[in-house]
Amino acid sequence: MPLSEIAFYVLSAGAIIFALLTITRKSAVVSALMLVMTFCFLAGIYLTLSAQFLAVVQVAVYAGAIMVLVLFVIMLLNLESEDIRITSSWKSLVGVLVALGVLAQILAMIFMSEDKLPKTISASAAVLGTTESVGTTLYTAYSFPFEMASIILISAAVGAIILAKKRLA
Amino acid sequence: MTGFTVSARDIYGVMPLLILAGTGLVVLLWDAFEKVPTRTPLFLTILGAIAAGAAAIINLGNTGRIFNGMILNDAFANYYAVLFSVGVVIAVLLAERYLKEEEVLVGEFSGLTLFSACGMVMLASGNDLIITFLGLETMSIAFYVLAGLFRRRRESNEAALKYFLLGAFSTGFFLYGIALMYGTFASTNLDTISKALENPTTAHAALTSPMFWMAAGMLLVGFSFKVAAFPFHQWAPDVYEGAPTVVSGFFSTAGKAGAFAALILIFNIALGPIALDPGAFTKMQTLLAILALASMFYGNITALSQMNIKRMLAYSSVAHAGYMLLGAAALNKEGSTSVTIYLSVYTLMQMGAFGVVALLEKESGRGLELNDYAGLGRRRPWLAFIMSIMMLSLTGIPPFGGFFAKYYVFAAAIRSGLTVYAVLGMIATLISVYFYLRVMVVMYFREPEEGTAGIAVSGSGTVAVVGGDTISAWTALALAAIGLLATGLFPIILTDVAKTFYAP
Amino acid sequence: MAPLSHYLAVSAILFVIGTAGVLFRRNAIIVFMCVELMLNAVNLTLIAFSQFLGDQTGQILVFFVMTVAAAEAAVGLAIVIALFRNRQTVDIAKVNILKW
Repeated sequence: MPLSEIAFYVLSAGAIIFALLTITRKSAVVSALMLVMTFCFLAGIYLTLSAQFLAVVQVAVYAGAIMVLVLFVIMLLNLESEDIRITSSWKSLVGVLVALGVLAQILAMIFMSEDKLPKTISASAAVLGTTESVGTTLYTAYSFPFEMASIILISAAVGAIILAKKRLA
Repeated sequence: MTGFTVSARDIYGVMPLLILAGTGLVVLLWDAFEKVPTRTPLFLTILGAIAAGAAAIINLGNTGRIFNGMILNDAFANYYAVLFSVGVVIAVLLAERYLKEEEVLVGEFSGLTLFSACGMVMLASGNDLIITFLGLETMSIAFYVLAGLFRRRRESNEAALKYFLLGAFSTGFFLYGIALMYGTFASTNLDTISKALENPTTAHAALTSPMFWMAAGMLLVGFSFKVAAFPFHQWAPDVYEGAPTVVSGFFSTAGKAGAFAALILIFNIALGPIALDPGAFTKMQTLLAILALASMFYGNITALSQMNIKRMLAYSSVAHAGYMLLGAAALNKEGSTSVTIYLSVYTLMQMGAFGVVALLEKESGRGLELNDYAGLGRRRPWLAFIMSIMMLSLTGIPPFGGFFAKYYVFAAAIRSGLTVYAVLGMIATLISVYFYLRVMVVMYFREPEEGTAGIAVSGSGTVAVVGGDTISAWTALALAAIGLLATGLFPIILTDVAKTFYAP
Repeated sequence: MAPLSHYLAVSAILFVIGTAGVLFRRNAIIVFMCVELMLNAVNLTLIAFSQFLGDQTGQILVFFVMTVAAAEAAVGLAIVIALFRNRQTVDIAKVNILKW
């Protein structure tokens, strides 16, 4: 088994374990840290796909910026640990069964379509994942959506200020 | 990749979008530098929306794609841009006094409304799933903030939180749908997808792949959330009740129109060639029609028991999403035209109804129960008259626009072979007669009970009325009422729209 | 190189874990983090498709998803703070003036 394949399975196992820890920890802070770990393992998986640019952005934006903001708010509000919502074992059993059912359906869909999927990674994958290549596409063919993303960012910035500011004098 | 240029044609094509975004920025800045709040941001917003609408009307005759095939610049996209501009104008006119009482700056409200309208325009002109995704999010993020605009009101906070969490949750499904579509067709461009479905070989490969159907299902889950259709409507009553009334009106009309425009572009136009495969066509039709029926029956039956007028309108909006889904289920151009007609009329009547509710609302969200409307017919005859027009039109009784809107939707469904669903839909409409007309009965034939008399007495000085009558609010209501009468008496207006719309 | 279906399967598992988290947790911030997990799971699907199909669109879309996620984080956390100021809780089960 080549190294990249071993790396993929190890990283995937890590991502799934930490994702499960994220949704089962009582303390919000611990959950957030587990999620940071999940994001880092995901960045590793992106590297096995030779998507270097997105792997770096994943760590910088998700694990860095977004999760730091989340942790900041958790600590600002000084939240106590919650009890998980499951009130009866009957309810949790149904919930878990539904989740497993959905998962089985998606997995069945993936493996049933397997013959129609490309068998190997594209020869140009290593080039497509570089910052240069992504940047070139982003600033040429996708320049319009790139500009339009600024509307989202400004309404989010203005919105956050409106919602979180103190009352008017 | 190289050699990509932006031409003047591209810029003119997205002019409505640029004007809306520019006005949004100007209005926000104006608010920031203004020492004493004035009405200027309000006028600027209306001016901007009218300019955007005018730019869209000028572009109405265009055909084709701009920005590398990513943006549609045709009658469809530009017609919707006009519709959204009208929605913004009515919302801002209604909002003026309403906002002042809650210490919300007009600029904040108008700016976010304009940004959400940008998202809607992107949805209606998105010829690439990336644009659709960005448009949906631009609209939604502005909506989350608008829902929580009355930030010291608990109901408003809750509405924002629920809308945000459920909205973000549904975005996950929508995005998964886009990813699987991309995996099936190796492209996110709707033209490419459409061409792949026209080619028998690639179409067969796609339509027999479970991945395609999972993708369509996930996209429908995402859309049914955004248009508040069954089974993902649960947020609607809570959010409409808790959000500022004017904002609720804007969510349930322009917001719904934006999501439906994208739904039509994806399901009726890009996936239109699915009709070449009768088996897959019937499957897709049934999928949409069942969602439509469930929304109609669920919305109308639940609305029967609602005593809060905003909740009643919310459940009725679930039912209306159902009627429009039935039109979309025709999966052809007649179907998409009927949905467009429906949305145009629906925007007027639902905004009008929410406008009346906003005018009658008292501080802290009181005065919203059905009983508060008792005796309105005598005390506020004009307001009761306008409300009656809205209710009759929502029911679908001639001579108002709502009748013809329903007629076209059901006709499109019947002609595409969905007769059983259309007949069941008409039965659902009959249920709705009860709760719409009940509002009129209460207004004209019931006397106010002890303790609720305050609402109908204007200027009594004992209770502060949040909404209050203003010229701007009355202009908006009059616009809506005249629009409904005009489309009801001269349905040729609607059919003309339809004809120019999809001229072959 | 692991086959594409394995990448997609890992993504599906993460997506369902995120969904389960949204349905089971009561803390609004944790629910939000679970939504982020769902979006990340989809990102993996997109990147895997993009690299196996040899088409860059998927990676561009992931870039935009990250932008949107950052915007959502800002707005979502502001909503949570506004709610906390009025209610001193972020427990969605206790947020019930309106029927949930």
